[in-house]
Amino acid sequence: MRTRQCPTERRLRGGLISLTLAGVLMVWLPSAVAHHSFAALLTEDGGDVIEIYDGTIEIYKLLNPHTALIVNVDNEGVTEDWLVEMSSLAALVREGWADDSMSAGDDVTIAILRARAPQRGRLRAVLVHGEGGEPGRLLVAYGIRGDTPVMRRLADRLPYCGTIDGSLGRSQCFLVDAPALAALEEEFPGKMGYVMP
Amino acid sequence: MRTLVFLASFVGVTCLITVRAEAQGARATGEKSDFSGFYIGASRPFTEPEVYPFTPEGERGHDAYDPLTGDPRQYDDCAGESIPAVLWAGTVSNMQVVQEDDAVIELHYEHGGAERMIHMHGAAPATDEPHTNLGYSVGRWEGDTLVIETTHLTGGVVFTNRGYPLSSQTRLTERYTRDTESDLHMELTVEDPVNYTEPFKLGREWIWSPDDQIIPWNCVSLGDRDGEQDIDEIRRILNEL
Repeated sequence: MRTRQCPTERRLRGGLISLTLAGVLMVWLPSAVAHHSFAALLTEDGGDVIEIYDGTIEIYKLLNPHTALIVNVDNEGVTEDWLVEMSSLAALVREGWADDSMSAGDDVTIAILRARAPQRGRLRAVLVHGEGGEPGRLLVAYGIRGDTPVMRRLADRLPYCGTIDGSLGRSQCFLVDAPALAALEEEFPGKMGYVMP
Repeated sequence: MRTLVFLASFVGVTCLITVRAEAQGARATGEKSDFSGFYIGASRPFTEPEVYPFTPEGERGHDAYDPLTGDPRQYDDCAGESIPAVLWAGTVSNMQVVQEDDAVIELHYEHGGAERMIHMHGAAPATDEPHTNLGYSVGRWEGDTLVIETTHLTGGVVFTNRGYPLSSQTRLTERYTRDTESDLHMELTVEDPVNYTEPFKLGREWIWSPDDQIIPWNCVSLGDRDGEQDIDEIRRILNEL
């Protein structure tokens, strides 16, 4: 398990103490005060289109206003490069995300809220597969964070990585070893069924 | 003796009236509080009108607003911030109040690195003051309340994701009060005769967070969200960071 903190995160740790108190009041902002709209691709029923792929992280950069992932995914045998957005650096480092939360070369299975633009979307969840018998890490974000059924489902079954400040009620990181993953896949069928609505 | 008692009473009452008048005068003419510090924009409580008092033009503008085309950040993540939208800029609606002298209060927003200069003492805008996204702001103290009036806006919308149009004739009045926990309560009054038949109010809280600080924004645009994606250009940008 990687728990090394980037310098920015260490600098902000002190701030997180006060943020813990503030965070009690902070939940995912209502639509009235959201940053801007996400041009999501929607189903005929108005639901989010969630696509799930196996792939490899090519680039992961904490940035403002949106952290960026480029993921080389396998789409039925064809390699596609997807740009996957996350929250801002300013928000994520306060939650505990760091420069090494993901790394180039990480093998992942990723759930993406697809944008209207092709091969672009927002991160719903990413399972960073463990190496050498180490447990993987399931990082969850848009559509899951907060007091949601999927978050509660995962929290009931998996231990936390210990790197995310859960009091902010936003993203979370869970440890997933092979037996836990097998149990999840059996209980919630389908590819990454355990993070689906 | 009765005369002495009368004189003493007269002097006492007069002094009391004078002291109270001086106190009220001080509050009305320049007594100031210190709001310096870092604040996190809390999501609740957040207040807004149940019904916005649109003029016909305002209603047309609201109905026509599409956040996917009307918000410049759909095309450029680093488009300039605007008032009042930056006051509720999502999860990073954080604000630093810098209050180093009596002439100017600076408001630094984490989102977009926007900075506002609040001209105290009623410093009026120049006759040729341009209209901008952040406008021209004049501040004053009303007792312990910081009052900021902003004009010379280019216009825009109240919320980038929901619209509510604003014209260049908009006048915004922010009133900040600080509670015993040092949190700020903001009441915003919007006056725009082009789009609304009467002023309306919105409100939110800012949580004092003395151990935190502004994180430099260093904005990087990931390009147009609604067209063909130039992944090679985005890859080049990201690799050069």
